[in-house]
Amino acid sequence: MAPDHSELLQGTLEMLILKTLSLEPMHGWGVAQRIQQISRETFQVNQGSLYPALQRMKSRGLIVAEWRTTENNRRARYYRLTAAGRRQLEADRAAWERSSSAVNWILDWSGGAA
Amino acid sequence: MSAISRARELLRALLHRGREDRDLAEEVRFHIEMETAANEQRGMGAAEARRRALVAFGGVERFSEEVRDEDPRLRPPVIRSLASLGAATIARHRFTMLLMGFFAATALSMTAIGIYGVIAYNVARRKQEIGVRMALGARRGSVLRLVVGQAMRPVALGLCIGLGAALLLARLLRGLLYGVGVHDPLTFVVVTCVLLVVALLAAYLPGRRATRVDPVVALRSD
Repeated sequence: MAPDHSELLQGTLEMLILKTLSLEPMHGWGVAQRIQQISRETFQVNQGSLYPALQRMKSRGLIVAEWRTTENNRRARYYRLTAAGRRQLEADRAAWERSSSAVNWILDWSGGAA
Repeated sequence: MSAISRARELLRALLHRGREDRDLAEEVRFHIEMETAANEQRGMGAAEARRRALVAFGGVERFSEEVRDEDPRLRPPVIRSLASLGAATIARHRFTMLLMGFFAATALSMTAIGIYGVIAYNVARRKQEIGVRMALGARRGSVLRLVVGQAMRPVALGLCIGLGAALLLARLLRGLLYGVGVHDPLTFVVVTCVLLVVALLAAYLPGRRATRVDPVVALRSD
């Protein structure tokens, strides 16, 4: 396990869930695992915020839920991205890139005119 | 929304909520079992693996409440009595009407006091003239009729002007009236009668006092 976990930035959890689900439909546990793995254990997804986020996105029509069986023949609720969810992901991504590069410019700034 | 459709909405929300709660419970169970299995693969004992999984999840009760809060359809609709809903809706109108009523009552009583004052003063001023008429043999009744009749002439004129203006201006109140016509006959008749009675009293009371005075006393005083 990596030594330092970071708190997920406020508002980024939904974007990361959308990204994870854009690859393939997945259940809640899988989403949490995937985000942990791909972030190289930097982000620990708190279940207490994961499922409320999924519910919120479901009621906004970004994702839909359906019961399916896993490879191990277990019943699990899978979440799938809708067209609206795909658009939301694009919009979130654009906004994220804009603000993160702005933050980087400021952090890299070494005095003088930009 | 009618009461029936509100009741149907509430029932639908409750049914939906039951199903959603069952789905959530199963989803949570699945999550915890997956987490337990993953913990066992990391080399924990079965009991420890399950305990860790539960701790990581936090209180299930609190959690399912949080999830429910995220979905407005799962929240029970706020229930209020029809009476309180109605009261809240018309509170502002009711206050406006109360204020209007207060102003109207003030205006009517000021009008009544004004008419009484003017007429009573005019009749009292003619005390000497009344004394002369009485001294010359006029009867009480006819003097009173004369005084009251003359006093009522400006009152009649004022009432005509006032009624005409009211008929013309009442349409400005149209927006505030509900269930009452702009030219409500009862209102016009009652207000006219009140003002007439006030004017009659204002003329009659000082007039009668004047006819009771001894003509000699009346003639001496100026």
